[in-house]
Amino acid sequence: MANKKSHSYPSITLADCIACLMCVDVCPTGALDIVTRNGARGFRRYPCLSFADKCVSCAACKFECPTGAIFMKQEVAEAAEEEM
Amino acid sequence: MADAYMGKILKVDLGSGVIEEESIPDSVYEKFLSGSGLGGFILYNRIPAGADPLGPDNIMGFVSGLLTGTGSLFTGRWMAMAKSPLTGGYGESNCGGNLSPAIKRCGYDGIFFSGISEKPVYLYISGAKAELKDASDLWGKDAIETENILLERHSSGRKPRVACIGQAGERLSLIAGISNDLGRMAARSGLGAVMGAKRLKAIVLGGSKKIASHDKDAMKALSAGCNKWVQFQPWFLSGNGLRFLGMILRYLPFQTAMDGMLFKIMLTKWGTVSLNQYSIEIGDSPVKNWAGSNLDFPKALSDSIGPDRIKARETAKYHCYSCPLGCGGICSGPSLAGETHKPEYETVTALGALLLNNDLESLFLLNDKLNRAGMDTISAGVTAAFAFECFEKGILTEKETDGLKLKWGDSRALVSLIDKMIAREGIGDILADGVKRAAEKIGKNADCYAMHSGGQELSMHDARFDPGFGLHYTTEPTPGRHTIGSQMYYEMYRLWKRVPGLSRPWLVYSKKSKYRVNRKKILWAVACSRFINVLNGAGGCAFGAFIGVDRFPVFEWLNAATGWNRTPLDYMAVGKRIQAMKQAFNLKHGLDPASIRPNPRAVGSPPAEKGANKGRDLDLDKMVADYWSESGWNTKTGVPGADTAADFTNV
Ligand code: SF4
Ligand code: SF4
Ligand code: SF4
Repeated sequence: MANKKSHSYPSITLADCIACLMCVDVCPTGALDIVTRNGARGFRRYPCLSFADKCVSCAACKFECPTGAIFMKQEVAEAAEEEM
Repeated sequence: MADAYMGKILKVDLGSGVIEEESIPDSVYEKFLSGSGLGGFILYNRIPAGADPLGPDNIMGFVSGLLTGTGSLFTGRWMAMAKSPLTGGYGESNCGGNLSPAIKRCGYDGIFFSGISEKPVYLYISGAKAELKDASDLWGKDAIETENILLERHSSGRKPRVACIGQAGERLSLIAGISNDLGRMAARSGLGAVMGAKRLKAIVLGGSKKIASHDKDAMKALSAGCNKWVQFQPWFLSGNGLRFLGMILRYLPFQTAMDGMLFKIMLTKWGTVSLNQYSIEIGDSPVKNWAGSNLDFPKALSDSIGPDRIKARETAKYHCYSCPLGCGGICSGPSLAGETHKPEYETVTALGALLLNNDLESLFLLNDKLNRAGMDTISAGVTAAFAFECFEKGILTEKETDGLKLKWGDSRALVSLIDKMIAREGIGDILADGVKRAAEKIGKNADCYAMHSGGQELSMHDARFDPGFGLHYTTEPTPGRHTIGSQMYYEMYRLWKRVPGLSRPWLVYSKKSKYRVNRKKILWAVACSRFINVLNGAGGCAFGAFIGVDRFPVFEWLNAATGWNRTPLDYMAVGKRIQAMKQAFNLKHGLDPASIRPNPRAVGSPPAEKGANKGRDLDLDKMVADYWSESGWNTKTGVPGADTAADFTNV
C-alpha cells in the first residue's frame, strides 16, 4: 500500500461519466460507492469515492472506465469539483 | 485458457454441505460460451431424466456472461437456470442488476446447487472461502429486507452482491422469482420456488478477482463506438405524443421496419414504460385477459398510467452494471415504505391493461409488494386476470374468493387478491402456482381463460400484432417469453449487417403481409433464437442488442475479449447448438414439444371482433413445422436431428 505522500485518488469527471458503474465493480477494496447525483444527464446513480481511506491507489477504476472519466489526483476531489 | 472466462464453476451440495470447485474444459466455452450455454450444458448432462423440479436432484445454477467484466457495455446480465417447476422443462431467467460480475469476481463462471438443505442457508463467498451460513433468521423476510440485512452483515470489506428469494419462493409458489440489487428480478420459469425447495435463501458474493480481457484496447475502442450510439439522444415526443403516434400507426395499412435507435431513445427517456400507451394503441398490449382490445382501455383510462406520469415519480435513473443507457429508475411514492425500482412495461400492463386497472398508485404498490415477495409480476398479473375473468363468467364466486368481488378495473380487489397469492391464503393458494395449475384445480373449463404456453404465463406482447411473438411463445424450449424474438426484434437486431445469408426486411411493408407465412420469416425467427442464445451466453442485454449488432458489436467484443478469431456465422452455430441442447433437455424430461401451444385466444382463434387486431389469426401449425424444419429438427415431433444432437453431446 502506498504511503500518504505518494497516494493518489480517483477523481471522476461527472460530465464524461455514463454511470455504468464498472469502476465501482472493479475496485478491489470497496473505496468507491454509488451516490445519486445530478450529473450532465440528470439524476443518476453515479460512482463516488465514499471511502477514501480504503483507496490503495491501484488505478484499476481509471483503467476500467470506458469513457476516460477518471483521473488520478494527489488529493481527494470534492464532490463539487467532480461535478465540474 | 482463453481470457474472459474464469474456467471454473463452484458446486454446492446442499444436502451434504460439500462445496467443491470444478475446472471446465476450454472446449465447453468454445462450444457453448458461458451464461445460458454453460448453464444449459451442466443441466442437460447432470439432471437425471424425470427429476422432481422441487426435489434434491434438480440443479440450480447462477451463471455470469462470457463478456461480463471484460470492458464491453450492456453485458452485465446473469442467468439463473434449473428444471422449471412451472413448465416441467428447461427453466431459465435472465436479470441485470449487479450480480453477474460478482460471480466472476469470486473466481467462477457459475455456481451450481444440488440437494436440499435441512435448514435455511445462504452461500457466502469472500476471498478464497465459500461457506454455507445459517439463514433461519432470514426465512420469512422479504427480498429487500433480506438483502439489506446481508449487506449490513457483510459490510467489512468490499460491498458484496446479493441474490435472494422472498416469501413467495419460500412458500414454493411456482411463479416465484429471484431478486438482485433490491428488486431487480430474475422472474420467469418459477426458479424462486426451486431455491425455496432447496432452502437456499440467498447467495452473497464478495469476491474481488480480476476478470481478464484478451485485447483491452480493442474492447475499449469497440465500447467507445457503441457508447456514441447510446448517447445520441435528440428531442423526442411527450408521452402523449407517443400514444398519438401509436394511434396513427394503427390506422395506417402499412408498417415501416423498426430501427432500434428509436426504441433506444424511448428507453433513455422513460425506460420500458415508454410503451405503456403506445403499445395499447398499436395493438401490442393484451387487454382484459387478451379478450379485450385498445377500445377497452382508451386514452381516458390509460392517461393515468402514461409514461410521463411514471417518469414524474422517478428520482434517479438506474443502470445495471456496465450499462451506458440506464432504462431503470428509482422511484418513491405515498403508498411505499421507501424507494423502489420503477415498474417495467410488462408489470404495468400485466397488472394494468390486462385487468383494466388504471390506478397508478396500485401499480406502484403491487410492483413493490411483488418484488419484495419475490413473485413474477407478469405471471401474477396474468393469473389475477384469469381469476377476474373466471369471476365474470361465474366459475369463481364470492364463496371461493372469500367475499372479494373481482370486477374488472377494481384495483382494491386486485391488491387484496395479490396479497392472498403472496400469503397463499384461500383462493390465493390456488393462484400462487400460476394460471395452468389454477385452471386444473378449478376445472369447469377454466383453462379457456388461462393465458399460458406450456405452463408459462404469456408476456405482454400480442401475437396477433406481431406473429413472431406467437411463434416464439410456442417453439422456444422456454415457452411463453417475450425476450427472444419477433418480426420486430429481427428488424432491430440488424443481424443481416453481420451474418451472411440473412436477409434485410423491407423498409415499408403492408400489415397484411406480416401474417403470411413464408420461408424468409421463418429463417428470421430461427436466427432470433440462435442469436439470443449467443447474447445470453455473452451476458448481453437485449436492449443493447436492439440498437443492432453493427452498433452493439457483440461478435467483435467476443473475439476481442477471448482472443478467438471467429466469424458471426460461427457464433450463430453456437446459438444453434445451445437451442438444440435445450430442446433435448425438454425431450429428456418427457415434454412433447408438439403439444405445447399458447392459449388459442392469444393467436387469434377465434379472431378478435374489434380493435387493433380485429380479424387477425395465425397459421401457427405451419409456422411451427417450418421453424422446426429450418432448425434441422423433425417437423412433426420437434426432435433435433442426429447430426445436431451429436454436435452438443460430443465435447
Ligand atoms: S484507485 Fe484502486 S482502490 Fe482506489 S478507488 Fe480506484 S480501484 Fe479502488
Ligand atoms: S467507469 Fe467511468 S463512466 Fe463508468 S461509472 Fe465509473 S467513472 Fe463513470
Ligand atoms: S438497458 Fe436497462 S435492463 Fe439493459 S442493462 Fe441497461 S439498465 Fe439494465
